[in-house]
Amino acid sequence: MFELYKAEFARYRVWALCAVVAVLAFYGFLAKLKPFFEAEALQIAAMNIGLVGGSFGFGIVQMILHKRINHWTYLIHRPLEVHKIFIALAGAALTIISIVVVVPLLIMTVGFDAFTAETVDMRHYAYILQLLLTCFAAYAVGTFSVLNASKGAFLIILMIAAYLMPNPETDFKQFFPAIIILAGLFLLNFNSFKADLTAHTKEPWAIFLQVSGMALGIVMAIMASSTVFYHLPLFITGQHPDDNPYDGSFSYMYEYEMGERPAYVLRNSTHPSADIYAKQAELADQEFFSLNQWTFPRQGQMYVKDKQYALQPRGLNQIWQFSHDAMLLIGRNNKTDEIIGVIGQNGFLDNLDAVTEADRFREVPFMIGESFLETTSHLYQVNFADRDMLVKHEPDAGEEYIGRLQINEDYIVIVSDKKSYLFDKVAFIDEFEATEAEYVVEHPTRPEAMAWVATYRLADGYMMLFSGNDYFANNKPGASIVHAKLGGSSELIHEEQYAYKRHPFWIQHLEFIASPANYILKNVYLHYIEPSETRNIPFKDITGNRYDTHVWIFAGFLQVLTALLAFFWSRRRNLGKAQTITWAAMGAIYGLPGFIALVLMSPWKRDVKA
Amino acid sequence: MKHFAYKVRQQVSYALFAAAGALVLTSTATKADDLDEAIEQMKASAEAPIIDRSIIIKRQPVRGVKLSPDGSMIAYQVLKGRHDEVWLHDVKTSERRKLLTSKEVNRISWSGDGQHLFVRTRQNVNVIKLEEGTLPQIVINLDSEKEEFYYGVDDKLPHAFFVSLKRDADNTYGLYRVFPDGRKEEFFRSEKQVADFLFIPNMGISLIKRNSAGLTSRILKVVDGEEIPFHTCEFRDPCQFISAPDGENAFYIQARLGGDFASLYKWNLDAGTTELVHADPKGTYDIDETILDGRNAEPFLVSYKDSYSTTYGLNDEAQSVVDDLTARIDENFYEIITDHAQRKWMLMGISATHSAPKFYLYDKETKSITRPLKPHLDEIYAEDPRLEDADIGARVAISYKVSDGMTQHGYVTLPRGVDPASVPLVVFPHGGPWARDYGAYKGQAAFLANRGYAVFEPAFRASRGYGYKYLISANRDFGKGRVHQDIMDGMEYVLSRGIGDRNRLAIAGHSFGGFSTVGALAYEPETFKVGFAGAPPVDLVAAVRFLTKRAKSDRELRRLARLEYLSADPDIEGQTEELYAKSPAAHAGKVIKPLYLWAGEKDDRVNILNVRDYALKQQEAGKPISLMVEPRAGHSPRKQLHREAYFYMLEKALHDHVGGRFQQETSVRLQKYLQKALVIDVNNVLSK
Repeated sequence: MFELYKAEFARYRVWALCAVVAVLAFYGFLAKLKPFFEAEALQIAAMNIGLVGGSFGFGIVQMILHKRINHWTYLIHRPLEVHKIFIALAGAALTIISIVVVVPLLIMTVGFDAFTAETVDMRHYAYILQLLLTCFAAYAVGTFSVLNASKGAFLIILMIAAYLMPNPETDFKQFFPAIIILAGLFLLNFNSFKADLTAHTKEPWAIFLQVSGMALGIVMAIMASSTVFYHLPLFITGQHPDDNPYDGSFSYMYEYEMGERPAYVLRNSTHPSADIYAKQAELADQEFFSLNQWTFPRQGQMYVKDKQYALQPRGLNQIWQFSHDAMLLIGRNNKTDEIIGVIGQNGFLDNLDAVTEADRFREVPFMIGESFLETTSHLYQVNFADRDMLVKHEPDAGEEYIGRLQINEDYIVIVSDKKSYLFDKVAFIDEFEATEAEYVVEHPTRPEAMAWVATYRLADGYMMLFSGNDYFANNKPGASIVHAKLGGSSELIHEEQYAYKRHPFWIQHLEFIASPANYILKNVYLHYIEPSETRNIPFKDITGNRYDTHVWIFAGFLQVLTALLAFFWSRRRNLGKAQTITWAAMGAIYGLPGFIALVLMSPWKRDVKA
Repeated sequence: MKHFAYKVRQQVSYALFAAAGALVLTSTATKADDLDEAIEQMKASAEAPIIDRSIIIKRQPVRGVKLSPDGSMIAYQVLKGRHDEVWLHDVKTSERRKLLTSKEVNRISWSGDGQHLFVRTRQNVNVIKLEEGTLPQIVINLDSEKEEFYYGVDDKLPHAFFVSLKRDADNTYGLYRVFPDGRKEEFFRSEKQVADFLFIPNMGISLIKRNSAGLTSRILKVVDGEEIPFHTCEFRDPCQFISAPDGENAFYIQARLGGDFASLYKWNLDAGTTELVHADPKGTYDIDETILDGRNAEPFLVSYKDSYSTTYGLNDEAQSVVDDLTARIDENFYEIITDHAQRKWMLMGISATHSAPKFYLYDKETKSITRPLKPHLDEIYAEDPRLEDADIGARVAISYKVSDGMTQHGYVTLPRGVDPASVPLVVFPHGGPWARDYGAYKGQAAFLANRGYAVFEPAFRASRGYGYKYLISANRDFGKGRVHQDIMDGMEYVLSRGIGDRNRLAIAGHSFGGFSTVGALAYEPETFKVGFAGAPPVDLVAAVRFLTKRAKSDRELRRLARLEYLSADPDIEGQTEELYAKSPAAHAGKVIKPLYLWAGEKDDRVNILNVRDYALKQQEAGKPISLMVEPRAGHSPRKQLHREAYFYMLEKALHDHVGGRFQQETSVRLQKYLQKALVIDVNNVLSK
């Protein structure tokens, strides 16, 4: 086995070396352009595509090369157990990947840590591990795609995306799922690495594992396919709801210009000034702000999830990075690299020696602009010239901020779980003192039910248009108009619920109907990983009144149908008893994806019964 | 009674001046006059406690008081923190309610029917219907960058106002009549902006006024859409349309029309003649305002900002009301507004004897005088205290002859409880220079008087409001020239009247006042012990060139043209060197006494680079100089903290070098701000 390992390693050694040099050169070039650890979207995308995509590709290429007719025969008939052959091959590949992923990044990280004053934490090193595990997983999907006889094995790659997307709440949630996913993938690879590569997966446990992995991709394919069987035909026939908006539906609001939308919302209002508000909106200056809930940074999060690299006050040649290890901002001179001080939650300190536990931040703050720091409970403003910091604003008792500070043209807004606070922009930025909001507006409904708030400047304040597809919960869209008056008071002018849905329910809730289990699993998993992301719906909300009864019935009916279909298909294909039962169960559990997986994981030419 | 006594003495004083006019004296001592009386009063009074500077320098919270056309309501603005509130007071019931809170309210106007208020803000015009519970509404947006603006209310219609809007498609300007529901009626369009207009209903024509980019403005008659030249208004002729009375082919205009003083004229369009309706009886001042009878658009009151303010009735009835009011209300500086039918008169008193304006409502029928806004004002000032009346020093108008025989004017403010002969004297020339001081309460003077200084504010030649000759008599002789001599002559006069200690003289001012200050320290190095200059243009040539570069809009070009005409035109051959030689910058080496400078980085009139350059050179030369710079301020400090810092430096400068009182305590916030803003501080402003 070790010989095979060495031979396989030697095969790709030079490529690995070249890749290391190329990657290191790329990193060096990047470090000249910008701070290397600044989480710039293009850099992260390039690293993911290059390393993760490259690992996936490497897995495919490696196995394709081995899968050539004579090569495979030669390989598989070595005097070695099959699984050991795979271990040797995979081991060599993983070593190659490790070298390419780890060495350049480690050189950069250690280099910056040891030879510069740049703040490098344990999380920078931990990212190397996280990236490596992701690349391993991508490699495993690549090999599996080639080794497994199923046409849809590659669909498991979408699990990698699902793993990369969230910002996990803890280190455990960061790494444990990766290890589980890796273990599952390698088990599937082991199972697929056999002499007869045309033989489909038979073992019930392997079927379950494989279907679980493919289900997400299949669901996404089903949703994409709605373009073919629903959207396109309707567009062609001119009957698509987007081309025939229904006056009275929620989405019809977007047929209007922004200045006309309040009039649409206020149509049925009995408020005595409804007409006036509607007309005022057309004349008013319009802006909008987001109610999206942000996942606040956590201690030790991967640096690629940082929203801002540092605070860099203009004209002072200073750069202040937040150290997760120290839970402080550490400042250095941009030109000389000399450490110039630290900032804790109580303000400036000359150096790390002067720091006490009370000075350290309790939460990792967002860094915003040149001089603002935001945690869930405080908004700080830093005056670097005077080396002073103050609490600019705090939410009211019992509240916490859920969004980042937003700087608009006319105002600055910060959103809590209960209210939106709007500030005078000039006073907020120019004046170094605690400030009160000019407008305080309670959310008319749960903030996660609304994405954007449109604001219209009136003579004495702002008119605000709140809206969302889930405004009234349980997928009931709605909108409201609020008049926020200068001085802090606000008045709800009107709320409107929209019953009419643009698309039929089976299109609207296609993801759920196609596979309730997958939908629940996905949301539960993601909600567990990142609870603050409101797009991940908790279990109790899904099983609550989120979907109407008929949706559940339809989904259930589809599951029963697919279970039966899977059963009869299996019987038709003369699959064994265990397999038949397993496939019927997959149809019952995963619904349509389960059945589609059966089709993909079965030979497409029927075996003729002997 | 005191006011009446003052007026009598003033009349006597002017008569004496006239008799002594033939003598060429550097100063003229009059017989015992208001100044003597004020000196005795201040000597006999108790010294005022030292008042927190943040209180004295505050802006007035109540402004824009407007009486409704029927006299039943009073609308007014209250500045609350950073916001403006518009309030409505019902005269009959004495109830008040808040109509609107807005970020900034520039102006409020009553509609013709008194049922709406039009509120002009920076970006739009809003309408408020007076019914309870109705929403203020934006009626129209105005883009100031396109020079769209709001003229005012159309008093011929129940509720409409006039605006000028620019049409981007063809770059033309339209005049519109706008209604509260947003409807617009265009009644005139032209390629150039219209500065003012007047309908002559009897003739079915209009008059429009256009300002040129230069020094003149033109009045044109618009007949069937055609513009016919009517009259050219020469430089500094206000040519302000007043009204076109019903049933007449005539109009009223406030103008000079070739004379020395702006007065009220009636222009007969048929005969093409003008008739002088009213001019200043003293022959000293330009007319300030004309008040119309809302029923027939006939003027019935005119007012002048003379040494204080004086209003004259244009008929016996009006004059009798004025006499009654002025006899019964102890205000020597006031403005009057009336309802349409002149049944109710509102007098806003802003005399120098009190720091907050007082509003009196006079009922012509019952002859009663009430103060309807007092309860609300008392509440406002309880939360936002002002300088107490009892702590305010006396502010007196004076007149004197300067060294070339010209009679000039000014104001002296005296501290309480001390002999004015023993106190330091601060000479405080105004900005402009084509501006003036008034006899109303002035915060800066009151502040300095509270600190124990006598303050002299000279109306040197070039000051506005004293006629055309007074305005142009400087003859470009600024810097080390005639204007400077006027200031020195005035100061000598004040000293000769027993005010101020000659050994403790200071000079302070802003803009042109700052220019005078910097110049005075250079031209009279031994005379003044200290100088404080805010936003001073230290180099006349550079100042004009700076404005030249920046002048883009018609308004800016007109300002530049006036500046070049009156003071300095660097394009005229030979003038550049001469002008520079007269500038303070050319004499910087002669300054030996401490100088304190303030500048705003966003100043669009005085180039901060010039100020900074001057200060740096002085620092380099080892001169005692301090410079405070506010990065966010323009020509003057606007925010409370910036103003406080400005006055702190002034107070410290005077205390350190001429020994007046000084408020030691400062807030941490002010301290931190001073540390940041004082970019050069040889004089140690921050030391206690």
